Amino acid sequence: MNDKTKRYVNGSALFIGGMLIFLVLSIIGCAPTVPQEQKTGAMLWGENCNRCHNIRTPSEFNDGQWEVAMTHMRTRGNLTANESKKILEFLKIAN
Amino acid sequence: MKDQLKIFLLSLFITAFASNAIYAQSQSTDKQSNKFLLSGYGFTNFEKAQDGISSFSSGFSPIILWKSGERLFFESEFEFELEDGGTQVGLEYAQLFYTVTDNVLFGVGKFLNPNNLFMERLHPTWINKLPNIPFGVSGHGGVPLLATTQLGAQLKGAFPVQSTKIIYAVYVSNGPVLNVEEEADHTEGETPLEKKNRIQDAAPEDEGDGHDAAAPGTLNFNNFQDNNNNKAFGARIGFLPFPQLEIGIGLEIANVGTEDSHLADLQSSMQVFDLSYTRDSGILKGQLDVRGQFVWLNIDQSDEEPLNYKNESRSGYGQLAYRPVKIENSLLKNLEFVFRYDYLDLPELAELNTDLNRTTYGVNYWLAPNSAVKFAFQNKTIKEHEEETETLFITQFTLGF
Ligand code: HEC
Repeated sequence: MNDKTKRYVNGSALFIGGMLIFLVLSIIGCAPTVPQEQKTGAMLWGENCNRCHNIRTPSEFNDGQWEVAMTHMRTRGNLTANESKKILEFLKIAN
Repeated sequence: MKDQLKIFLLSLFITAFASNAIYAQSQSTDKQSNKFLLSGYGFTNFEKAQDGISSFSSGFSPIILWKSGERLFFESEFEFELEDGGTQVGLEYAQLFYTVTDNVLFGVGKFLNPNNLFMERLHPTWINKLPNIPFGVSGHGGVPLLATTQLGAQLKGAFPVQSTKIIYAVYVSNGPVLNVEEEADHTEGETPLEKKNRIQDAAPEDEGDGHDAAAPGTLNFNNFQDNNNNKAFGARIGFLPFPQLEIGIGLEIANVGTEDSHLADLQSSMQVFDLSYTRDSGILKGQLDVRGQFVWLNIDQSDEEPLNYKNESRSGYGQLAYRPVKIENSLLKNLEFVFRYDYLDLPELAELNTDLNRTTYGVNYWLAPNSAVKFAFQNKTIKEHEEETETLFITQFTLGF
């Protein structure tokens, strides 16, 4: 095996490992939880906004400021439009 | 030095002015389609190495965000740091986003590397649970194996799949440049050992900067003007089987040699595996936070000296943190205990062949969700010619705003 093929074999090993973990976890993940579309803004806030940092309190910002911060977090945290819209609505009520 | 001070003062002035304007604007009605937010963070560190001099250091990173209408968004961050007797100013990121669909965002500019989860999501001092960063993720933490930021374009987004979620990011960028041997001017007549020592002396250990890490065989990620027509290509996929857990794999392939040189065909391939798990546990009466990021970097071997060796490097870290948030004691529930293990392993035959292992124990007191006082104790093993250990005490006070 030359170096290049070896490298890709290494690469695929990692990939297969990753896929295996995905598979196992998808089985666990299929346990009955609420589908994304049915989650409320408060639920989505609780689930998503403490994944990377401590949850920031709604009262920290006014509505306009939250609109910008939520757009930032949508880009940083890979949120869907639906998730960020619902979370923003929740923040605007809770602040 | 004088110029740097001027820049620093000017930037402070601009920031103060902007914050005033932004404050005024953000207080006004919500109907305007153009909205600003000034955020960011500041920190002060104090550190003491076992046999070294103790020192304070400080940094300030303002973030300016603009949202223009429903689809356009701009994010930028500056970085001011006191280093080497002056103020270093950096443009950490500057990215323009266009919302293509509910699941697709298009971004261009200088953006945090989506493959480098630590830098993209965890490095701001009010988020990072330890006062310094793991090896391999940036020039600030030894030799970096992957970029902090990319200069190029990316598509990113997420797709919900029933109750699970798939996150993705793909990008093209200038990509890394292979550091090759410097022109031999003042170094003529050097023996190979002298040369190796010189390069190791010049190379960063802990707090070095990416710009200095020019040891042949390593990659320079600050590629603001590309050296070839070939662009780096990278992708990361993250899977969230449930919201508390994310597992990601990523890769990046790039031609790293200069166009038309004998190294032009050399490629680098980087693979990364990451894991994030955060959950509130009733049994443990608190919050558990597990993180890990492991990087493999392979660079093609050249036929000619000095890069005619197997150029494979590895780095990674695993971190565990626990905070008893569910205990009814206002002091205890703000305390957090952190453990991290990290390593950096550079190729044995490289001129810079460092092999670093480190364990860090930390205790944090959270004054607010965005402010903490952190204390950490580190034990580092360095294997170069011989094995050495170093201990370091470091404390940090930080606020994110
Ligand atoms: C993928 C990780 C991640 C997730 C998920 C996340 N954040 Fe953040 N958040 C960050 C990072 C990183 C920063 C700091 C930005 C920087 O320094 O570049 C930040 C900054 C912030 C700030 C400071 C203002 C700003 O925009 O810089 C607020 C407020 C905030 N986040 C709120 C939230 C809320 C609300 C959510 C839930 C929707 C959330 N975050 C989810 C990573 C995340």
